[in-house]
Amino acid sequence: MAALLLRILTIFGAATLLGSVGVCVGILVAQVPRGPVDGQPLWPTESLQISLLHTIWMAVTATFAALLISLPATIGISIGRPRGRRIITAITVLPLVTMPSVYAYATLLITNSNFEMLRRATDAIGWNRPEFAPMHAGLVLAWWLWPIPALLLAAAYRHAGAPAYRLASLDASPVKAFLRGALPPMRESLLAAAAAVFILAAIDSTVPPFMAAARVWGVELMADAREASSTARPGAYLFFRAWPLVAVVMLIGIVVLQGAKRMADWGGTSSDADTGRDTPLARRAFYTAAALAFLAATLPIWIYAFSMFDGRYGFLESFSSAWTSGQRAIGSSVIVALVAAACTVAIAIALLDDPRWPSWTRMIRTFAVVLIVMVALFPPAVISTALIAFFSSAKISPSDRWNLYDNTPAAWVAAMICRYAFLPVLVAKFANRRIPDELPGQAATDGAGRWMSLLHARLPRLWMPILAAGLLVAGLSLNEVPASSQLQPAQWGGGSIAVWTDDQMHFGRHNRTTALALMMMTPGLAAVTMLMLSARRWRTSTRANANCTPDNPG
Amino acid sequence: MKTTARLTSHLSCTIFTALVIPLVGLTGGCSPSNSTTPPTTAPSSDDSNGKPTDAAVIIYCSIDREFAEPILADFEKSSGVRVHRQYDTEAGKTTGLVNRLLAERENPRADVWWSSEIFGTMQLADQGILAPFRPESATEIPDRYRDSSDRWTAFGLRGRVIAYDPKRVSAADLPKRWADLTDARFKRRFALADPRFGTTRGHMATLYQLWGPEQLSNWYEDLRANEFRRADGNSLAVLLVTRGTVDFAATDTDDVIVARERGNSIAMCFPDHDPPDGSRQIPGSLWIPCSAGLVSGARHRSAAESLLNHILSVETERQLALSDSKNVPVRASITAALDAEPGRPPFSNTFANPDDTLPDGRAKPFPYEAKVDYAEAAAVLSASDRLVVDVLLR
Repeated sequence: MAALLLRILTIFGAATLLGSVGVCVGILVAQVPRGPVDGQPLWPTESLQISLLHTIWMAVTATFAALLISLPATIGISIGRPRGRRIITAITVLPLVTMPSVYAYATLLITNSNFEMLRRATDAIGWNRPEFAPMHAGLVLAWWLWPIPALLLAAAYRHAGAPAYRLASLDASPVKAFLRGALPPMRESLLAAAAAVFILAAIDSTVPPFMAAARVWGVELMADAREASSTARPGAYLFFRAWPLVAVVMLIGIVVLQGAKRMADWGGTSSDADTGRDTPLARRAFYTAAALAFLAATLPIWIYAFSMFDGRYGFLESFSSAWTSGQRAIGSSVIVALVAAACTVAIAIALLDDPRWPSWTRMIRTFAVVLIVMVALFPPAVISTALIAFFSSAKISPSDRWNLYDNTPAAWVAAMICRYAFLPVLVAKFANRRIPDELPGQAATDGAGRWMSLLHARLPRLWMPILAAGLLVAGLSLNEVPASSQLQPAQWGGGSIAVWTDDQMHFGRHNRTTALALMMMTPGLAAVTMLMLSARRWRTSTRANANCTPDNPG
Repeated sequence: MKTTARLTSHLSCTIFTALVIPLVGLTGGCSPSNSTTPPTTAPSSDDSNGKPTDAAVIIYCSIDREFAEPILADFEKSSGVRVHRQYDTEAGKTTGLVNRLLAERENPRADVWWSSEIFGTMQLADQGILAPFRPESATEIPDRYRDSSDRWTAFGLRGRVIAYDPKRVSAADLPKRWADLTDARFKRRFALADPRFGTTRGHMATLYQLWGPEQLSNWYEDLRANEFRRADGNSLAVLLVTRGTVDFAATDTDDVIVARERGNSIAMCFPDHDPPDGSRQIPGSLWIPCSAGLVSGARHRSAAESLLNHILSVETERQLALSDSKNVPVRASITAALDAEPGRPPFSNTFANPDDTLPDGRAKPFPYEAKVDYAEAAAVLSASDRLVVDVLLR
């Protein structure tokens, strides 16, 4: 029965992949080979080169700043005792399940503070000069994306950094031991973390407008999409506008693929193995790191809380008005986020392979992974345009009483899959590679078929990392603005809560924004905490399974 | 069992390859054509009581949700028709929905288009996205606010203004003309929303049409040299004023009024549109109307016509005038009635500002509109966008 369910899940994953990433690829394959649209230049014009430079500047700022901000959490997760480590991990994931614009708006409030001194200080350092806007956007993106390096580095620490740290901490302070002893052997993961932040920052189109970084690719393509829609081949038009950025990002992506092996350990960062030394100094370092991580993750809430009484609603009224006006949007956004997470998990499982399988099935799976990563690199404007063209076409959604485009969130979910499926897929891929071949091999020798081997020898070791990545997909989908605003179905649900919250920020309703941010962050935080707490049980059972052999059934 | 397993495994792999070719064929057929011929619209199908026969209608609406909701809810209540709404994000006002309408042109989903401005609507009409329909409720609307082919009707004006904090800025400090913003006294004191989106886009296209590309390009250069601040939308430009980051922000009247209602110290002035070289006098402000139209190929035509009649009615325009948006009615009779209503200050006083007399001492007419041809401004939108990108946002 379980094997049958697994097969159904695999077919479902393959079909979902085809209906999302396949659509985008299909549109590009159908439109791009015919070349640029109406004399569109193939090589970036001077204006586009400026955008490219600004985008790279923003992404590089985000990368360095994110690595810096992630250090306290990395140290906390790495050197803390198991319980404390789980708490910091849960806090660390918080920004990723929060809208990036929540961080952007908080920055806007603080840098445009009513405090004269603060304003003068920001003026004095040139903060407000327009040419620094990409840097501002990069810093805000770092504030949102720092959990990625924190989690990757903490996972790498467990595998490569811990032994070096133990040795170094014999005659150095915990922080020095971490920086000089543990970090060098983790450089592969450091590179992967940097690349992941760079990519996500480069294709973001939510934060830059807030920070007035008008000339970055994500924003440029929003305006370009208008021109593209008027042409015969919008997909090709946007492709030939976006290709230089995609090329840069793909190059970086190759680095990610090389170094992202540690991503597989996201679900395992809460290992009970005590990697630290329980000394007063280590405890102090842990508490400092935990406090800094907590501050980095929750600072926007405090900023909003202080501006809470600017608006026309009181504190409690804010929650009730936010809930009354946003509950339908919350409902539909949660459904879309959960469905998108489930679909991406199914895709990740469908793309799992085994060295004993025929090479052509493995090649097709690898090809699918490459396509998923490639589509994820396109800015949301490109993905939305392709999906609208496909799902609204008469062949897919004929103008009858009920259809996929108007009455279901299919296109919206597909966009979320296109944007975020790469997370569970890569996590599953690398976690799968780390499984020692003996167990599936033994299962095969004992006569277990392909599905039984996958079900009993591989999946028990993959569930947690895949689910953790799926949870991240849910959080990111819940907070996605650009594609959600384009693909909300006309006759289903109450729209996107992320778009609604974005509107509240633009109207300066700090109180409603705070209430909504809290409403959206709390379930995410609860889910992450539950997952982290259940990780212990999962790891225990995994270890027990790993100790089982045909001769010693445990 | 083994055969089944192999079959399932192969199925999950071949599902990619087996469907890729038809998928490519399918997606290849999804690109919109460049045809500007509007799809045929179905005839109206009201029943004998004038009630729409459709149970639902889809509207794409770039009016702020807060102002549109009560109007759409009233329609639902009075007609029994369910209105499915699609709003745009504040920052990209109208752009997202315009993109969507264009992308869906081969198989339209929206029935009614209600925009917070007029220039994008004119472009949509020219691209065949809007169909002719003359709402009965809009007979009083002056010709200036109607398309000659009835593809759109405009109403409810919002002015392009400069917001400032009267506690920090004296009346003498205010710019008299938009061209003045490049004076040294405005250095680092002025904020402007991204001119590729929303009403700011239309305003810049108007300046392009009034001043010509050369003067506008020089003005952009000078604005850059004056270190203007960019903002993500008009309301965030106002936020920069209320928080003291800048002293002046180009925005719409409704954003100032909303901030004022929230208790912020904020006021607005209405600069003239004379070109920077002073060769001509173009007194008055740019007042941009909302616009609404029937989408070509609307599937719920009867309900769409009914909704358009509701949106363009006297009552809706009055409701918008009384909302925090304070849209100025294009029907003079509504303004006169609102001014005369006892128990509230005259509506025209909402926009009182320090410079509301003409040079000869007479009171300025209300609204004091610059002589702008909306159609000519809409025609240069793309050229204006390019100039913005090449010079102002370089």
